[in-house]
Amino acid sequence: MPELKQIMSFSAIGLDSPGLVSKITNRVLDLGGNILDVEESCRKGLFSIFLAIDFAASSRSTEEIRDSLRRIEEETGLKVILRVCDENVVARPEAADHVLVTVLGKDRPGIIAEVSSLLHRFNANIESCRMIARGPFFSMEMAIAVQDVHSETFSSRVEALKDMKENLKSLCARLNQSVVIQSERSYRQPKKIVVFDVESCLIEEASVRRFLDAVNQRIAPFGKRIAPHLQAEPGGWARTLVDQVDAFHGVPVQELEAAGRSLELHAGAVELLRILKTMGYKVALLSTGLDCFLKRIYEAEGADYAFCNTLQKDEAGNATGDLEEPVLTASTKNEILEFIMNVEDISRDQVVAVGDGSGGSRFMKDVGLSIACRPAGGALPADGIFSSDQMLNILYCLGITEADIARYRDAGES
Amino acid sequence: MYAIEAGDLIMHLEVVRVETLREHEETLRHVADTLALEFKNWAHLHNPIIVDQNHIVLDGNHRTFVFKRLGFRTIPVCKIDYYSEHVGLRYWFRLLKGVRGLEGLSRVVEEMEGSLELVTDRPSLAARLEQNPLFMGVELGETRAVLRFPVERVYDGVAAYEALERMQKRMVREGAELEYVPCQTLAGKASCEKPDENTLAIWTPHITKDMVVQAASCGKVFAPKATRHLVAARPINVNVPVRWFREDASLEEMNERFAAFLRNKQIRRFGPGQVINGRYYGEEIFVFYDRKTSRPDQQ
Repeated sequence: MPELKQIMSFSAIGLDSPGLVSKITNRVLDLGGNILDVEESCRKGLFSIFLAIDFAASSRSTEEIRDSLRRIEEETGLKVILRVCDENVVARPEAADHVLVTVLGKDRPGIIAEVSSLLHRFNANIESCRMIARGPFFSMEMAIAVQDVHSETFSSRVEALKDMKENLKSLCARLNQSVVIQSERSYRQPKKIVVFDVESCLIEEASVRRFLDAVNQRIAPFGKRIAPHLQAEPGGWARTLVDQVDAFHGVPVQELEAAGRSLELHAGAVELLRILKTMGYKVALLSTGLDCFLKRIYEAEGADYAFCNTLQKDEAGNATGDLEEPVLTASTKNEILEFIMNVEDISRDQVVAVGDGSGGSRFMKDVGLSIACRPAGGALPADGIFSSDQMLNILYCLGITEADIARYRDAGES
Repeated sequence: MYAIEAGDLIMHLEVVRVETLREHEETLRHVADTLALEFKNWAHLHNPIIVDQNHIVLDGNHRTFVFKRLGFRTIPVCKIDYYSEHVGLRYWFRLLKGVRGLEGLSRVVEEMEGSLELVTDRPSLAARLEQNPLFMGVELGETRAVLRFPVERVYDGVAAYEALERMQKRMVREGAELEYVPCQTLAGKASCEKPDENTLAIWTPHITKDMVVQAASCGKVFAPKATRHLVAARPINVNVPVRWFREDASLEEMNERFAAFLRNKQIRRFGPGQVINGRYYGEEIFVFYDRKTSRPDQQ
C-alpha cells in the first residue's frame, strides 16, 4: 500500500447548508477511515470543518481516498484542503498546559492583532479563539497552549509564563480592556459560589457620601456625629463606621437603618447577583460593615450567605455603642469563606472571589477565579481586573455567553 | 445530651417523642401541604424544633404538624427555658389590602357584635392595647381605633384570635388580600409606613407567655400566625438524617446517637444579622457543619 495514506487532515470551508457534516463523515466511513479529531463550526452562514482521519485500516489506495474526498468540493460547493499528516505531529500528545484568556471591554480596532502578537512573542500557541460578545462591547475567549512558552527575560518556563501574564495585563490595560487569565484546570472546575467583598466592590461610590450625610443627620438630634473623613482604601467607609461605633451610643437602631436606605449597589452588581442566582450559583456577601446599614441590601438581594458586624442594642432598641461578638474583621473573611466551603462541601477551586485585592480581600487568594475591582497599588495578584461598572463581565469569565445573558435578562424581566 | 450555652440561655439538643409536642397554634394548610411534600423528598432535617421544657412548640409549628402527619415517631428539638429573658414574644400583624373603607370595616365589626373606639394617634392606640391583651387595634388611613368584642365572646387569647380569624376571613371573602407582617414593621417607633384608605392594618391581641402556656396545656390552639417567638440564639444546619426518626428505637438510644452525631460536627458561632442558606437571622446563631475529614460511617 502507498506509504503516506495513514493519517490525513481534511479541512473544508464554504456556505453552510443542511447535511454537510453527515455527507463528509459518511464519505469517510465509506472509505474505511477512522476520525481521530474533529472540529466544526458554523458562524453567520459560513461553515468550516477540520478532521484528522486515520486510513491505516482502509483497503482503498491513497489516490482513491484523495479523489473521493476531493469530489466533496464539487458535490457541496465547499473549498476542500487535504493534507497527509506527519505521524510524529499527530502522535504528539495534546498540549498539557493551557490557560484560558478572556479579554473584555469597549470594542476598538487592533485588539486581537495586539494580543495575538504578544502571545506569539512568548511562543504561546492560540489553539482556539471565539468571540463571546461583539458590538460596542467586545469579549473574546482564547485557549492558549503554554507548554512551550519562553521569554527573553527569563530562562525558566514558569517565570516566562508569569512574565507573559503580566505583559498581557499591561497590554490590555493600555488597550483599555479587562483581561482574565485562568488555568484550564481551574476553568474546567465548575464554579459553585461567587463571593463578594461588599464595601469595595458592590456599593456604588456616589451613594456612600449621601449615606454618611444621612447617618450624621439621623444621629445629630442625639448629639452625635461621626467624623466625616474616610479611610483611604475603597470601602474604607465601612471601617470608619466600625472604628467610631461608640458614636452611635444611645441612638435608636431604627434611625440608623433608615440612614442605610441611602446606600445603593451598582446597577451592574444588582443585575449580576440576580443572573448568578437565576443560573444556580450560590452568592455570598462578606462585609466588616454594620448590619443596620446592610440588612436591607442583604434581604433584598437574596444572597445565600451574607456576613457583617452587628451593632449591639439594648431592650429599647438603642445602640449600646458596642459590637456583637464575634467581631468580623478583614482577616476573618477568609475564615468565613472556609466555613461556607465546608457547609457547601466545595473546594477552593469552585469559588469565584471578587474583592479589591487589598489586605481586606485575602479570601481571594488561591480560589478558582479571583477578580480584583479597582485594585490599589500593591494589591494581591488576581486572575482578572475589572472596574466596578464592568461587574457583569464576570459572567463571561464563567463561560456564559452574551446570548445566555440576554436569555436570563429576559427571564428576569418576565 | 448535647447542650449549647449562649450566655444565660442554655439550649438542650435532644430527641423527643413526636406525640409529646404541644402545638399552640393552628397551621396554615398550604404551608403544611408544601412542607409535607418537601419532607417526603428531604433526606435531612436542617434545624431542630424549638420547644420549652414542657414541649410546647415555640418555633417549628408546621414542621411538627408535618412530622406527626407523616407518621414519624421522634423528632429533634432544641429545648429552652420559655420564661428566660432571652425569649421574646412578638406578634404577626395583619394587613388587609382592598377593604371597602371605614364604612365597610364598621359594618363587619357591627355584624360581629364588636365595637370601635376611636383614638387620636399611634401612641394612644398602643397605650390602650397595653391595658387589655384581648383588645385589637385597627388603622385605616388616618383613622385609628381600638377593636373590642363582648367579653362573653372573647374571654381569652384563643377566643380573641378566633374572632380575628373570623373577621379577616370575612374580609378576604369580600375581596381583601391578607398579608402577615411582623408587629414592629407597623408599630415601630420610627415606622413611616401608614396604611392607605383601602388598607386595613390590624394590631393583633398582645397575648402573654402565660396565656400561651395555659392554652397549650389545655390542648387549645390559637389561630394561625398568632405568636412570633424571638429567641436570642438558635442552633441551625444540624442536617440530621430524617429516616432516623421513623425508627422504632428507644429514646435513650436515639439521644445517644443524636449527641454523637452532633459531637462529630464542627460548630461556629455568629452574632445576629447574618444570612445563612438564604435566610436572615436576627439572632445569634450556632451553625453546625461537617468536618471535612469525617466519613459517613463515623457519624
